[in-house]
Amino acid sequence: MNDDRSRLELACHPFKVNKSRLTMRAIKKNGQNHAPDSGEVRIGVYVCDCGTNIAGKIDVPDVVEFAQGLPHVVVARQYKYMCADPGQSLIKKDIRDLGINRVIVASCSPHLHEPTFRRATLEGGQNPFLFHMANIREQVAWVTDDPKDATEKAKAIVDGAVFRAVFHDILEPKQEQVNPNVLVVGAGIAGIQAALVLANSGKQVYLVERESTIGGHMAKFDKTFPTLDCSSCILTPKMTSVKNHPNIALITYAEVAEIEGYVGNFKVKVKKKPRYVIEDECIGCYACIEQCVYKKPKFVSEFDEGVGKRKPVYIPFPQAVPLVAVIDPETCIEFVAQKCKKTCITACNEVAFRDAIDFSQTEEMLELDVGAIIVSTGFKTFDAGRIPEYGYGRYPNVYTSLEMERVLNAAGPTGGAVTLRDGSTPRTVGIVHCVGSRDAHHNIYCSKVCCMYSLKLAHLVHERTGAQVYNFYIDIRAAGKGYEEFYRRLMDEETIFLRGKVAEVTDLFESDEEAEQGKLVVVAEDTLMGKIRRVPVDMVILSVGLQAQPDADVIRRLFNITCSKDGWFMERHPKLAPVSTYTDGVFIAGACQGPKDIPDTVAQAQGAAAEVMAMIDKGFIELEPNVAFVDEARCSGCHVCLGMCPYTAIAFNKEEETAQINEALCKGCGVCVGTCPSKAISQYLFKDEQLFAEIEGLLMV
Amino acid sequence: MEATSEQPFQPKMVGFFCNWCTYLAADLAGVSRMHYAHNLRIVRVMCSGRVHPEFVLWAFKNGADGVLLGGCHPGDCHYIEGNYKNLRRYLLLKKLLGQLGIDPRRLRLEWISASEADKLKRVVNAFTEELRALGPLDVQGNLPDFVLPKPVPGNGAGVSSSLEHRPDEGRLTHPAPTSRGTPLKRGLTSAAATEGEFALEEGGATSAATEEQSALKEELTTPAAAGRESPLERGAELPRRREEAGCVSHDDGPAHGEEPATKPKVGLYWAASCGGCEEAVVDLAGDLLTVADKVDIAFWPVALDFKREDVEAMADGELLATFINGAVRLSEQEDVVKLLRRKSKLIVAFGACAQMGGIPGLANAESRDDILDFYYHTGPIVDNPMRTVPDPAYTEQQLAFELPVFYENVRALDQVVDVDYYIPGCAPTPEIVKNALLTLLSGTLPPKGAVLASDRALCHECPLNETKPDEGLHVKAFKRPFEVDHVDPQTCLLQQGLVCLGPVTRGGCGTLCVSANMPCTGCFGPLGGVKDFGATALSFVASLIDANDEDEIQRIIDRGIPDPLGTFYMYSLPKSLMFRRLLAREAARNHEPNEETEEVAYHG
Repeated sequence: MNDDRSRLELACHPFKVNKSRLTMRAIKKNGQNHAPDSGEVRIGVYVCDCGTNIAGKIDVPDVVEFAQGLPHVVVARQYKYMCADPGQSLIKKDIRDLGINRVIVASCSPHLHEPTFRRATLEGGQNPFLFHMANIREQVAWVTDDPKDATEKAKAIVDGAVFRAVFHDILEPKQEQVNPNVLVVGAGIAGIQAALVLANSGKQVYLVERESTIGGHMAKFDKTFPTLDCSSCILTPKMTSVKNHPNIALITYAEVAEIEGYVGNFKVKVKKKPRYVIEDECIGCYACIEQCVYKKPKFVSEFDEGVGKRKPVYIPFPQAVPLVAVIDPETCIEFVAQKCKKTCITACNEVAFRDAIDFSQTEEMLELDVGAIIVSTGFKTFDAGRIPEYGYGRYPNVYTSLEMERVLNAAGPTGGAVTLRDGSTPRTVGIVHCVGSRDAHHNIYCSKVCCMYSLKLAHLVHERTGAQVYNFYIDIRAAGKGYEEFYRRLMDEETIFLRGKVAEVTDLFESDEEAEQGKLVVVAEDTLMGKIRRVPVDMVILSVGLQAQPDADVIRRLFNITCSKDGWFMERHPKLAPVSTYTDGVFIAGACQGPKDIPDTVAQAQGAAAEVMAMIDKGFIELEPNVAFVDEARCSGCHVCLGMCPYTAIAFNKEEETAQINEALCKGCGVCVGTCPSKAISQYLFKDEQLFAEIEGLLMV
Repeated sequence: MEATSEQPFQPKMVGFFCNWCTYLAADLAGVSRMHYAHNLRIVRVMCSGRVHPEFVLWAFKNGADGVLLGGCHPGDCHYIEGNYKNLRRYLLLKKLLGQLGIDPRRLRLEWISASEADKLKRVVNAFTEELRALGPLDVQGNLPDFVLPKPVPGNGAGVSSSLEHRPDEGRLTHPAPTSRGTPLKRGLTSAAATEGEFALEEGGATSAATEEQSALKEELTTPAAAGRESPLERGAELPRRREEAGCVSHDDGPAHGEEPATKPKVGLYWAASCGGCEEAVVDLAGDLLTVADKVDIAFWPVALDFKREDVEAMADGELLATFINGAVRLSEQEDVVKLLRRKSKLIVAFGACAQMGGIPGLANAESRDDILDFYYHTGPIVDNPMRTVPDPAYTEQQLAFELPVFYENVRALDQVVDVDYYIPGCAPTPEIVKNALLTLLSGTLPPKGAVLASDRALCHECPLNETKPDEGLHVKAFKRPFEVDHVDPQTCLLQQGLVCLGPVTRGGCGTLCVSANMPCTGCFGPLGGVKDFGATALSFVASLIDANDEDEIQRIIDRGIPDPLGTFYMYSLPKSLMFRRLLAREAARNHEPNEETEEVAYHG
């Protein structure tokens, strides 16, 4: 018999009711006199009003009266807020005065307050696992029309809880050591900030970035709203600190491939793509790029959003971190045709006296052990081509906002000069708001940042070109510190705000006058004037919304977290646990959780870092003791369970010819329990008799 | 429950929701204040893979009109692939429900992620409407002429009196087991802990009797507790045991040198059975004489000419023990069984039919009328132009004749009378019978309700158990024995795709079928703690299916397990949670021909 098991059994001793295996009917018959083994089951039921949340729908006194009549129930009480101190004190007092040894609180979801009431039970002097929660708020009061139906359903749920609680055991929470290392996935501003905070507190951080450089979207921007700080000026120092920080291991051009384990003890496999340049050798001198057989940049630069071009060997932008060249095998002649002169290698050897280029590099797998993970994988912008009437891809002078960021960027392909594709300077510019956002055909949600960045672009374009800027908007949402002020400033700059959703961008002019005034016409219904407006402009900027990464679904599965309908990662609680997920030890930060601007992203990243620190600095985590265990006297060694466990926690003991469960590996799913043909496997907190009793109780009302 | 025109029928449904997806969706629905039908009652489990088919049947039995299983979408399981295990069981269970007369639509599986509160709302509302259209299920109310046995006065006392009088019967008892072990060291199962639940849910052993018996159990198991022996070793020891059984009383103990004044009387009776169990008694061969030496057989309709009047003339409790094989279907069987219960201190259910209903119990998958119709009218070999049917009562030459009543249901013995012990098997093997007899004659009785066989599943004694791979079993295709060209006698049959119920079936038979390359069909019945043999068998078999795609799983099931009811309830239908295929809808149809009855569609 394994030691943990006997320890738990010992702990269970005073209330070995589960051993009696009497059905609830038998218990009812014997009534209060039934004293299983040495301890009598004494249940206290506490029904919470939750202000009016519950009491507004459910007849709480009726439920209390009902509970009072249930077997083993010694006391049933109503209280306004059970989770508040006086409510918890009720429980503690009854445990002491009335000898309550099963506590049932009928209130909200166990996901919200189970820990609260378990603690109260413990503080009252009983084992916390003798508590059970009846969810009559989220699953009854808030979802039921008729108060009578709600009251009846609440009674049923309380009945199920009372029936179940009889079979509860005394248990000890499982404790696990926490590995103090942290994995941060995605090195945009969120990942960078989280990594720096953690590293500064002394934690070893692995920062994994899919692209060849860190920085994310923020690195592409010219200025940031509303202060018009230079984006590079505030971001690049952080990027450099990441590179130089002794506690941060930066892994770029790499993706997380596999995750095993659980909170405190994750095993992560990271797939590092070959960049064909040895990172430690390369000094970022550009010699190879200059000497590439392609004399001119010929290929679309991903970093420049297609506005600029690059060679097959390139550094995405001059402030890239790490400042290391990368070779794109799709376009490099050596890979495409295998007969390049490899002038890059010569340049590296002769100019830089290095030997950094290595065409034989292959994919590499790194294995990391970490205790916590922060997912900060960011967003993608809406694909403007999905709204063909806006002409993106068809009219050369229709830009997306992100393209315009690159155009405006002083380090960008145009050196910050705003020009049309033909090189001329635009006289008029139309900015179309809410492209793909607040649109039932695309994304119903507001992307939150577009209004503000559109204002910023309007300001910058006007500043650089003196062009007249039109903003076609639905509503201007400028909620934030200094945002409304920035909006007013733009109005003062005589930017024209035209309230109306754009119907079309076209080059079919209705008059010569139109054709003279601009290269394109923006057609919109001006909802303030109540008429259709046709505004001729030279350039159109589409303020594309934010979307979840196209592979969010893959990432979500990898990290075992959930997505909302739109693909944004779900937080554990929208208000009270905004960076936690339902997978313990995995946290989220930044725009992967939903559209947000830089200040919010940074705040959230620091929040996630703080959560991780709190977890690590405690040194251990407590896990639900809902592990499965084998009654070896019943086990026939039939092998059926062995293939059921996804964590290989079940092994066959050849000597005893029985199955054995490694408690440390068991995650408590209970799949083996539902499979065991001998009923030799059981699961704490979800034993057969507990569930049978609960079902019976639920259906008695 | 009856629906009226003003108030629509309010179905009750139980939802088994996984902690990470569907339960959270239900919470989210609340937080979003989405109102939906109040009919759903949610049981939280960590993973949908925890849901045992027994839970579903238990919910139906306890009054649920529908069961909703909720789990994470395929590929999203918090526990990697627990939801697939649930899917496999669900698909097979649905097929079984149809055979049990429960509309499979009453069981629903939905993948609802944590963010899909609107889907949850939709599903619950739609399911409520569907159940409303299907009408009440009401399993309990739909069990015609099924009455659990009332404790017969003196029944519990019957046991205890036999115990109280043990000293007087000392000369009849066997010597205490020697240190070499008792024949049944592995065969004792506590009534309270196991069979009590399976065998007698209500009106079972009184607590007084239980206590006494647990005391007894302790007494009995103490010498037996030491050591564990394999079935083979046990077999090797048999000759010696036989010696003990036959001779030791002459060497030792109070019986030495004395002829007992009166030998204890025992009875044997057969109810609805094939006669195989009677053969099993005869199969004792030489040992039968030993037994006959020890006891006086006072009633054995198959072999000896005692009449019912002889039994009626006995004093209550005069028989030490009566071994009854066969299920109970006729009023005559019920009468005799009840009579024997009164006259016997111990009633032993002998064989699978008495224990669980057995093969005759499969008749509960049909209605009585259909059975009679088939055998007297529509069966392919019936030649009955006059459409003659048995006449329950008729008068010929002023003499009244009566046929026993042919009940609607087949019942296991303990569904008619209180049963003290069970000897499992179809038929029980000579070893099992002999060991059981020796135990009962030894005077140190096992706890009431004990099944006198191994308390582990058959795999434990199966020589093929070692051939199973360490990583567990995975089955790509199930086959029936006739579909396999060559059964490899060196490999576990399950691994070869044969639906072998060894893992779920009580051991003790010595792997007779498996040794003959035939899969175990479960005649020794379930182990303690199992509420429903078929559902438990179904759960493990379905879980072994090596596929995660719904269509593929369905194909494997349809191809390999065309008849789940016959496969998993071959011997135990009357003792299942459902007791029988539900007929109430049909009854309703007969009475109210206009009423829409959905279940009928699944009949036949």
